[in-house]
Amino acid sequence: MENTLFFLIVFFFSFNIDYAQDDSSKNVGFYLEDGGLAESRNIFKINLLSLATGDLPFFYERKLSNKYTIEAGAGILLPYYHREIMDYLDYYIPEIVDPKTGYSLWFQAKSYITDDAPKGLYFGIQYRERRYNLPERSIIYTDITGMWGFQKNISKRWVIDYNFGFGYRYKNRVLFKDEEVVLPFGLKIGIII
Amino acid sequence: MKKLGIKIVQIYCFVLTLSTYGQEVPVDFDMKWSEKTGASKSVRWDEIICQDETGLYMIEAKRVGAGLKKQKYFLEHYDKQLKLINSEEINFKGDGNKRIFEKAYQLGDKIYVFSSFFNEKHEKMYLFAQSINKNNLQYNSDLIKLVEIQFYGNGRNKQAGFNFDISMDQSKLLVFGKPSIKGSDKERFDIHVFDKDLHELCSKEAELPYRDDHFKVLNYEVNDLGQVFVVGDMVSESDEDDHKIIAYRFSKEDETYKEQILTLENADVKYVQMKINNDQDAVFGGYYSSIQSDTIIGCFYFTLDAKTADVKQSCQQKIPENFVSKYMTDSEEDKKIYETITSENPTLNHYVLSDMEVLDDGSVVLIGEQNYSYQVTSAGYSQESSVNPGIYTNKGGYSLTYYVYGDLMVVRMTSGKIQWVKNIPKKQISVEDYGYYSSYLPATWENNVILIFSDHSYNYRIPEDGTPYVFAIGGMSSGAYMVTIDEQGNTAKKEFFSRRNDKTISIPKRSTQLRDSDILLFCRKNKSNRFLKISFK
Repeated sequence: MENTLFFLIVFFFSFNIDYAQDDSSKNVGFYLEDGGLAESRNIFKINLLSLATGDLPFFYERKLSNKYTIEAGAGILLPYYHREIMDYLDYYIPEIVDPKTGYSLWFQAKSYITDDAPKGLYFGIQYRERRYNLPERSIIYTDITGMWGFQKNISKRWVIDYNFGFGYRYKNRVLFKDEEVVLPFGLKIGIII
Repeated sequence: MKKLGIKIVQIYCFVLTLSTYGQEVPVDFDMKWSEKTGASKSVRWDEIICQDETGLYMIEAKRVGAGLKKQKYFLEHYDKQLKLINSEEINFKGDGNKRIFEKAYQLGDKIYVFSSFFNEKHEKMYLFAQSINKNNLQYNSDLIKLVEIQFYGNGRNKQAGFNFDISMDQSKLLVFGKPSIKGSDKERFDIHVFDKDLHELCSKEAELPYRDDHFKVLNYEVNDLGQVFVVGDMVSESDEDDHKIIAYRFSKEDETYKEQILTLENADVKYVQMKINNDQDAVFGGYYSSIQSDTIIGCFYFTLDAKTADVKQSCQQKIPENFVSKYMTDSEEDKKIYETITSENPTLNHYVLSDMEVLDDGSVVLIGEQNYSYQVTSAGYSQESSVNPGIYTNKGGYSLTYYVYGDLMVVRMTSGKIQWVKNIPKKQISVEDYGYYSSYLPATWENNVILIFSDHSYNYRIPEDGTPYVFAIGGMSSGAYMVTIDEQGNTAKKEFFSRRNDKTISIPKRSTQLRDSDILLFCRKNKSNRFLKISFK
């Protein structure tokens, strides 16, 4: 009985000691808890400018390190086509006429220069493929471009990414033949997850 | 012929004894070199934390990554023989490296590492403190949140942040917090004073009656009593050229701050600095010019009483006319040299107030340095354009920036007047390096003013009004020199290491005098760093 009473007293005080212990790490944890914003690595985006040429893609950008990210996108081609900027700079022969369906694929490796990824000025190499299904045939445009862009927060979770580039376009996946110069422009709005 | 030769030598030796510099500096000191570290220029000693019976503690910064844009910090411990015995990287991997390193200080007998984190969700920036085990340089389990400030707006690129000061006896810590505000808002800052155990003694939020974009905080200091002095430059909203220097005192006993406008008679303040003296009063000293003029004509100082915040002593006096005409006026030769370099016409003898010292006897010493840079552009060669034949264009060409650090002007003021003004001749010129090895290190010892800088060996016995040989990094005829100026204004010069023998160059801008008066002079040669400890006896 006495032993039982003794152990009960010891356990009681042990509980009190644990409760009274100053847990400063939990207090500090509150100040470091920001809903994952500081550690967020994923951004989902849409390119508003590509809508002008009949391309509706969605993008996913993943942070690999403080300097590098990769961005992948996929979209559907809408049943219209508007010529692109470089088409205004030279003699233009309409090629995409009465498009029906199609898809686009995007891939870009980015290197952030001025700030920790995914914010600030970046340089990237972009691969973009579009397949247009026309009434009597299909055409595949493959663009390989070097891109310069700037991405910044417009709110806690929303970002804006404006970019431009220079590169070459190949048709029907035949590289280094009948290439054309391309000057892509982009304006993307995204949300950090 | 032999007798003539002997006569010439005797006359030469006699002339040498007439030089301004005395034979020996009046201070006695020991020197000790640290071991060399084979580090590149991307590594530098960032800050000295403290010195105790076990040796030195300091922070080393290292640039890493592509373009060397990122910095890593290391806490280092050197023993009494200046040998590196421990080095630990300062990181915060425990919480996913969210926090950013701010500073490390000694308070009492503990070393604390201060870090911050911008919490986007709370829209606040938090400051944390954690002590270090001095034996193994590991963190102790006492991480606490010290201070928080508001972050207005979105994103991280805001002007808010934390700054620090430690009292002379290392018993008080001042955290000066600047919340982010718009330019049209009133100037705001937060003052937090902690004791050596990081218990908060005083916390004030100050909102001044001036717009943020019209008021600039120049300096802030905390004294051993825990009182905080802040000095700022206020520009009138109606007249951009109308500046006022305003001093504030914050004390835990007062509900609000005490303001004191430092006004001069018929003069504009050009430069001002602040220090705390041995009586814990705040001393503000600087240069002044005539109303709406850029030319420095005099010096001033104000002493603000720590108890009452009233002006206890002041001095406003013109620099002696003979000094101005001798050293502060461009000669015709200087003007011609400068006009060939650039189309602008700046004042060659322009002094910048670089340091202020308050000596043990209460005297105020102002040290100004001639400091300017200029660009030399080469036009390259002409090439005929392939697109437009017959049209020639420049190809190549380059532009180089030269950094010049010239004479020092040292003014000692005591009992409300200028005691003496001295010119210390030197000329350090470098190219495309922001004057990395140039300038000087100021120090004091027993009411002597001490200046340490790299100089050409031919300048060893140069008179006060002499034209110095140029110290350039590539030359072997150079060394590190100590110039001392005693209470009466007598100067002495001593070389304490030479480039030829010791194969190293000093970096005065990175060096410092510790609170116990020892000097740490950082040096570098090719790819090795080392430092020299000078201990006064």
